[in-house]
Amino acid sequence: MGDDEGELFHVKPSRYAVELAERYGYLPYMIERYAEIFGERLLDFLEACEKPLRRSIRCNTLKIDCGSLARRLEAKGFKLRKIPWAPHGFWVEEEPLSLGATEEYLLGYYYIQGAASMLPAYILEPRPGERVLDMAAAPGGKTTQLAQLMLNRGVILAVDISRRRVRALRSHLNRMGVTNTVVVRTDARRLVKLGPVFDKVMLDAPCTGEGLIPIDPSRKKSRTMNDLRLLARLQVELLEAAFALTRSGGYIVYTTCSIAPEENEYVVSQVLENHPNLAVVEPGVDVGLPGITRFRGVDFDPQVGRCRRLYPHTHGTEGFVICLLRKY
Amino acid sequence: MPAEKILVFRRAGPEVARMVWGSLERWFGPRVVEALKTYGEMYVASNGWAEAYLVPGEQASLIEQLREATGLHPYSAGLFLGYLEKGRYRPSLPLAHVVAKYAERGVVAVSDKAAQLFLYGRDVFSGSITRFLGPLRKGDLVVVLNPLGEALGYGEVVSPPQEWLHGSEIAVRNLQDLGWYLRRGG
Ligand SMILES: C[S@@+](CC[C@H](N)C(=O)[O-])C[C@H]1O[C@@H](n2cnc3c(N)ncnc32)[C@H](O)[C@@H]1O
Repeated sequence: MGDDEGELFHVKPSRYAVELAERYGYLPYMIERYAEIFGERLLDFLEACEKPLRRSIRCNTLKIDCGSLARRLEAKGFKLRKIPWAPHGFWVEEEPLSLGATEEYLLGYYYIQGAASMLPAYILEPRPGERVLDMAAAPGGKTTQLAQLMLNRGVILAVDISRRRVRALRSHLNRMGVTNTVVVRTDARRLVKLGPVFDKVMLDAPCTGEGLIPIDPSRKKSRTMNDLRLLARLQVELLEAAFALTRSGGYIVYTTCSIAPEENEYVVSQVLENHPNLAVVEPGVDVGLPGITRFRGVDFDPQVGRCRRLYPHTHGTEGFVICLLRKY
Repeated sequence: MPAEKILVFRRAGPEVARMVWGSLERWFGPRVVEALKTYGEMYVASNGWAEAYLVPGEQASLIEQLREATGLHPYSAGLFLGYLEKGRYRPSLPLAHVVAKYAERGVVAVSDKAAQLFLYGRDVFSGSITRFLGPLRKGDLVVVLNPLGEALGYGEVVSPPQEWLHGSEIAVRNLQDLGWYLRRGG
């Protein structure tokens, strides 16, 4: 894979990419890669990234049923619409007051969460009584959702390396009434000594955030190709740790809010190569475009075609990639 | 609590447990304590500061495995009971939700307008109190509810009902409200 890495991480932007990069304010290496990902829909993607995304919330069934929450918010002038693929998700079409300052928010009745970022927990499908690991958990969007799907039973081990973000995680757990979660601040790679003790593992990996450009335009320029390479290495190590911590028969969701194949299909492909008893499986939730199996002349393991990709121009969401893996 | 330089998470000693259960029973009656005790064992996290948690068995065994395998201690686990400061116990915000369900005393419900103000850190005037549970004495700790019975936080009774004459006297001083999640919790 060393040679592949060379090819993948060495990008020479074309004149067209340089021009578009200038027009839309990106670093040229990004556009060069997007041209291959999106082909003739490149401009649709770039245009969609110029518009703010609709906001969305997930109702917290640990504390309230979704119908009651919707009625309460609608009485305050909010306009909500159900997100088709997220049983607890609503698009917020009108927001007369700040979503983060309502009484309902303070009471822990919902979490402000991107619509695509609700998918990984549904795809992992944790059940009450299971042992679940959330390896990069803060500030807790996915942890609080996992807890809700587990009816606050079983155990979640929620780990994050950042002191500041762990505080935010804990505050969200308290606000949302989550009580089945053990929070540990550490580098998740340190956990491998625990061995394969988890039924399910969520790895929402640290990434360049290339999917968040519509929310945070500074990301058009803030990450270099070298950042991408370093993150891909960390992601491989974290996914290796996830594999070591999952019991046989268990599941792992590998996901990022980046649309970069280098941070997704490539990472999964690398780890698959080391473990014949690991496979990418079809998620039970049918939304998103298939994963990318060949990029910049490099062939990935064909199984990564079972990953799912969501984009602003196709799904109206932040860019997201989600892969469900099973350890045999 | 002696200051410790590293994070330690361990079973609460009998003195701490007695203080926490004793305070909760005095403020809210025995039913809250009975309900909580079925949930798990009391643990204390300390690292200079100290906090109490209630941890169910399956979490406790993972914590033990984690400690043995990696030497790591959790930052928090289970249900956050509250803070241990200077030999006293101060209940946590998530606990208010449980207290509201089981309390036999120490509960004050307020009007919608007063509820909104309480969430901004304001005190409660006697005229905004719509009902209360138990005899309220000066200095008592109470849970403050909105008209729907949802817990908004804690207050301290500064004037008892027999002193509520005009509706304009401060009856309950705000100790901690859910607005904390916005102001500090971020
Ligand atoms: C994409 S964010 C996670 C978002 C979170 N899952 C949610 O849904 O709210 C990635 C997180 O990984 C954490 N992180 C980075 N390196 C880590 C490591 N080696 N071990 C554990 N966490 C790490 C970062 O602090 C960051 O909070």
